[in-house]
Amino acid sequence: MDVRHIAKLSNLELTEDELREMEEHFNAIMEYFKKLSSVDTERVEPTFYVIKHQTPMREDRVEKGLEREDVLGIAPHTEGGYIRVPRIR
Amino acid sequence: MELFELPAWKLGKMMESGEVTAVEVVESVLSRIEEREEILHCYNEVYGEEALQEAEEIDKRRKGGEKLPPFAGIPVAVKDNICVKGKDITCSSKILKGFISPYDATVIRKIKSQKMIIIGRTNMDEFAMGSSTENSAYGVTRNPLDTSKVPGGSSGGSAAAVASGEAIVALGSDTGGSIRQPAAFCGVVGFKPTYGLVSRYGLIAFASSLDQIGPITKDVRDAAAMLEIIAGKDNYDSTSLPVKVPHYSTMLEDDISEIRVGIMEEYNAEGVSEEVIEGIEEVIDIFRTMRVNVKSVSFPHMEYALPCYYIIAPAEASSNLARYDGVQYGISEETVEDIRELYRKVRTSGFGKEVKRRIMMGTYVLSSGYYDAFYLKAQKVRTLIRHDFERAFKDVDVIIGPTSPTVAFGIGERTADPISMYLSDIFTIPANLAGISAISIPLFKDGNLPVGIHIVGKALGEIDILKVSYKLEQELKERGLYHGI
Amino acid sequence: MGYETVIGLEVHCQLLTDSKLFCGCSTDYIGKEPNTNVCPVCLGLPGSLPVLNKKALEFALKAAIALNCEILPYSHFYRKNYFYPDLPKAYQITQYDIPVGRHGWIELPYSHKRIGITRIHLEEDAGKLVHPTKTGRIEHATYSLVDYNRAGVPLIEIVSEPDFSSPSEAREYLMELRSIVQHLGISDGNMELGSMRCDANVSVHREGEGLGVKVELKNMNSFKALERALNYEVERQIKLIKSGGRVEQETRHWSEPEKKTISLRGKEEAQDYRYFPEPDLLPIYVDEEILESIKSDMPELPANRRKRFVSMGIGEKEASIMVIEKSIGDYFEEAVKYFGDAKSIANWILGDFLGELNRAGLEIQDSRVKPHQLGRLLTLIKDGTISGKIAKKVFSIMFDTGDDPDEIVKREGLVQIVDRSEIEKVVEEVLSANPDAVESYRKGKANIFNFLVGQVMKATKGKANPNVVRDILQKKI
Ligand SMILES: [Mg+2]
Ligand SMILES: [Zn+2]
Repeated sequence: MDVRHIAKLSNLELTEDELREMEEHFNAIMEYFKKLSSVDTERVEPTFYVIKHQTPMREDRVEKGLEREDVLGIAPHTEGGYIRVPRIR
Repeated sequence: MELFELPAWKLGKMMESGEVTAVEVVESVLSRIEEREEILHCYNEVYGEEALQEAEEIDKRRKGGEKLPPFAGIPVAVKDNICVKGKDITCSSKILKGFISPYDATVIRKIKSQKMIIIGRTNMDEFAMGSSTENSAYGVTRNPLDTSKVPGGSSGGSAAAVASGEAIVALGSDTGGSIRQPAAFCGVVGFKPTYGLVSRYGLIAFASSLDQIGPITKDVRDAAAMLEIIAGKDNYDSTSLPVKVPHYSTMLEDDISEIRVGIMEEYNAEGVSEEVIEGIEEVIDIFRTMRVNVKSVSFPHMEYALPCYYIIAPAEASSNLARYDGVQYGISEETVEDIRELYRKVRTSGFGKEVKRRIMMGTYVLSSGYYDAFYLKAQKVRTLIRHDFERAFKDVDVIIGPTSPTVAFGIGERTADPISMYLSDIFTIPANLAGISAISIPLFKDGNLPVGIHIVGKALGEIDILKVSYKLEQELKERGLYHGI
Repeated sequence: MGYETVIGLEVHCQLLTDSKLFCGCSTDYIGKEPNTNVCPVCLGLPGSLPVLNKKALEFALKAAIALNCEILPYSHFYRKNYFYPDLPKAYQITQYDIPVGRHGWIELPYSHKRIGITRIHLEEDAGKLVHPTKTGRIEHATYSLVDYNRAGVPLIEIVSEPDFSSPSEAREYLMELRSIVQHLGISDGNMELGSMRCDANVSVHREGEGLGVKVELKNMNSFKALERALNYEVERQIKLIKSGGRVEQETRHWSEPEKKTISLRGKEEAQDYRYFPEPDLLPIYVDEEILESIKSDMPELPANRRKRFVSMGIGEKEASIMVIEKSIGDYFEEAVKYFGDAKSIANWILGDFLGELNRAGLEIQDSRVKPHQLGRLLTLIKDGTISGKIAKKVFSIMFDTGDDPDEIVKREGLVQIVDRSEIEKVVEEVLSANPDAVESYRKGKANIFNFLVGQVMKATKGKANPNVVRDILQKKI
């Protein structure tokens, strides 16, 4: 497993030491997870939802949202009503 | 007895009869906070001034002859992952520093409508990831019963606050045991409702398919009353169950002879401490003397619950926590080259070690090529665990076992070994995976640290476990195995 | 040796619901102040949860039925995880393994080719980014601005099979698709405003050889742009192969000002979306009852409408043009109520009317000329009150003012002269003023006749009935 790749996908920056430690932990955990592979799950459906009924639905009605001050007030960087972000590439 | 030692139902009655005022109750709790908080650190923030003002308002209205809800004026501590409008909320993480919630969680709206008084936000493991409240960016919380021990986690601040009298009741959240295990460690009652009974709207998500909000209280009666207040269908949570909430607190004293009690066979497995095994055996004995038929039930897939949980919960968490990136709220960085660097810097400095570990674990088990082997496999094993319960619930109505394999452990004792830490939730996790209800009530013996007695019920089996645990609580009192505070 | 082109399209349409897909914010975000059309849910604030908009699901099902899809009785949402500043939760709630519908098809109106629909699913839109530079291009900006007003607007994504063998087929498909969603009333299909967006996958290969490398094209904001971009890209790939190069698998943006596709290098690290079922929503069950109620509520679709228009006496091509934009078809049908000759109505709409609309940059429904007025104008021609030629002039005034044709004819004195004696007088004047012309006509120059008719028309400012003029001239000459 490539810990570096996972860190990148997670947008986390790890030092060499941290990477090593993480890898050790991962290996230990994976070893532990291997328990699962011994379980026979042939013909077993996954439990993605413990609630069995259909997702409830809203009527298509407009409700009042937040005031702009509440949105921009918690943002670190704003400009002209927008939220400002650094260069995107 | 001091006011802060009393349960909410008693204080509520006293306030209603005019025996005490809300201001007196709040002052009692605030003075206890004054006295103990420096050592215990239950709270990330206490709203002392506001609480007093609200108490004055309540007293004024009561004096004016207004009939207020039974828990009006009761100070409630709220875990720092439940949104309160206009208040900071951090999940004990650095990354959310400075974030003020612009809205109320549904449970907060309900608590406010009962005129309960939010006394503060409690410390927790960062993003509820932990079992000791040591993973907090704002310092550890200590166990009020023995300050060298952890209070458990992740709702350690809430449990410690109730146990110490720094709050009368508290709200916690439970993803794999985070209400029940700290309740067990601190010697209070912790309730994890059926998945979907209490709205998650406004609870900052850790693992969406497992998270539930629940009460931490001084006794079972308070747990029942709090559950009544916070439960119920919510149109803002799609996973909220469309059920009418029963009046739990009026049913507590009902006869339990019809309820079939099971004992989880695996309670004395390897790694379960002597005192915990003794505690469970004490309980079995109590039921026998009550002439309640106790049956042993087995859980063949029990040993897979932990690895299953440590795949599913981090997977969901890795996605839920991806939004913390320094753009819309929380901490940010001033000088960065581009957006990727912003993401990396903010997340790297903002998240603690355990959170990073779980984000990476979750990212890994969902990543291309591993999804089937880990995530999908775990969700299938989850089905088998559910089936274990379904099978057991054909024979019994509630299942009794330990809440945690040990009593509260020492601060720093397990931080170096994550797996040993994970093991402390081994008995609580299955109920989250199956989405069913469970409670922990404490058993005190010979001045030792309490043992948590775990009672698991069916989905929407709240009434059964509340009745059984109420009866058990009464019996423990009789036998001198109980003390409030 | 020849080359073959393989194109597939992915089309996103914003649904015309009042509120967003998972919250109660309005979908009416265009022209709104930034970040004023948002709530905790569409901002992805911590603790917020999605709740599905019932109408959005109904609209998606409508589309799936119209596109002849298999409707799945069970479907659910997934999270597509990736970091981007316009995506508040860092995941998009979308569908994955089980969409609302799959395995459908549509038939193209001109070529009658059948195009496969791989799938159609529901998902949420992202916010909007503004890049404050002269070019507005992301790569030239030193920073960007985010507006979340659009975040959470419901979309359907319609993925076609790679069944197009030319850019013009792709365009034909896209136009038909737009017409379908317009007729269903589920999307306005406006590419310029972004309520309909299209990405394309393009590859070319030598005849008889295996498929080439797929390039993804983005940022085509009109039908013309789509066709241009595809043509450019096909040419580019063929040239590349011919010169011995290799087509890279990549995403390219169409640049309208530069009229070329541009590679977005650097961004292309392998994506891993880590799809997994959205735990904050429960599954969707589509039972027969829901399906039946939606089916019973289906409006007429373009294919049928075209047939019906043809049966009203209109050419196939004309019918197609009138159906391709629903509002034109609607206008046509309304006008026919006031003037029964469908063919004349169609000719007017497709002729002068569309010409004026193009010049004015207007949509037909925004025109000042209302269907009953067009009907009335044609009635005036038919009953001989005005000539066809005068009618054009009247129409032009109607288009500018919105006045009734009767009023214009009266005001401008445009009523046709049918009185024979009045016309006879003018004819005599013309004949005596042009003795040379009369002379040469009599000597056999037949086409001089038309010149004389023209002179009479001119003298009457076009108001004389040309048939009467001809008749009188014939007799007098
Ligand atoms: Mg899409
Ligand atoms: Zn919204």
